[in-house]
Amino acid sequence: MKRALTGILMIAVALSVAAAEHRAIAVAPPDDSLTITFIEGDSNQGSMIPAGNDAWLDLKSVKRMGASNEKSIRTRHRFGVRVVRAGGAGGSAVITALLDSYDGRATYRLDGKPLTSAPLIVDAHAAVGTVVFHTLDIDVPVSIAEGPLAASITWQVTTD
Amino acid sequence: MKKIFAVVFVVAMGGFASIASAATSSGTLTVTGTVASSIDLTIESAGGTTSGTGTAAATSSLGSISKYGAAPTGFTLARGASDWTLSSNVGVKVAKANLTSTDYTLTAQLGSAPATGIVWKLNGSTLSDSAAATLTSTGTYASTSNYAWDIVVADSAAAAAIDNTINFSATSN
Repeated sequence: MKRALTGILMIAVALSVAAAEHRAIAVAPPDDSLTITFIEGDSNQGSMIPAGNDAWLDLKSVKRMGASNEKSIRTRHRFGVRVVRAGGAGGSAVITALLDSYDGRATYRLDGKPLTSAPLIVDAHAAVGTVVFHTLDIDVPVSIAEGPLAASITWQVTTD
Repeated sequence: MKKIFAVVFVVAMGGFASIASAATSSGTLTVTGTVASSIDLTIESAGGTTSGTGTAAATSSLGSISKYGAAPTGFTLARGASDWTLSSNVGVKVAKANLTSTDYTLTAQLGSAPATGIVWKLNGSTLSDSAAATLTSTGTYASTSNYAWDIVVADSAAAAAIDNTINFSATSN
């Protein structure tokens, strides 16, 4: 009895693998690879340069221009994010963002939520192919010394 | 027997699950910039009827002034043998941002030559339009400092407008 059942189990495994291989060979899986692109929007300072899956936001010179009682200098940037699936297929994706490298000299808020080294869900159901605009606020405390400012925000998209 | 069938089911489902994996992709938004230091000077108060206090360009109107008339709002009037003096204060605040400096130097200079017989003084120093007078070389940031403001009018001065501008300049030390 045991032998028979073991045999059945082995056959089931073999069939499962064979079926999977057969499907892979007979019907090539659609290329559903994703890309993420950034689109420049409105900014009160600096400029954004998109390049492939990446983008460079250069704030240029950050200087207090407002009232002297402000504790920080805020720059606001509005930009679009689009998820594209190869072949033009639709669907939706989850977009997350996190502070990957960070000099600790400013705070970053995306759509009002603080960015940290932990992934932040930016959009739980982003429509593939559609541009969705987001707002990045960067607050530079007036208490820090002058000098360079740098951060890297990693974005990840995953299809549902 | 039941256990073995359960294993068969899980293995078969595993075969399907491995086909339907989610696609992922990532991108990077790099942020760069340069924080620049700055200081900000504001006129917080002054004698006379003022406007623009709390900014860097305030205006003070004294109205019509005379030796034997009433002192303008916010001023006192002292009559001397051959002149008379209007006295008040000017409050100046200097704030800093992204600067390691601990104090500043504040100077003042008239925008134009004073009318004959009129002397403008700040903190005891006579102002001119040709050279800046140093009010302090150890100013404290983010704190309003009051400087004595005197306008001395000679009895011999012509009855005419005494309008002028005091230009303040703060430099971080």
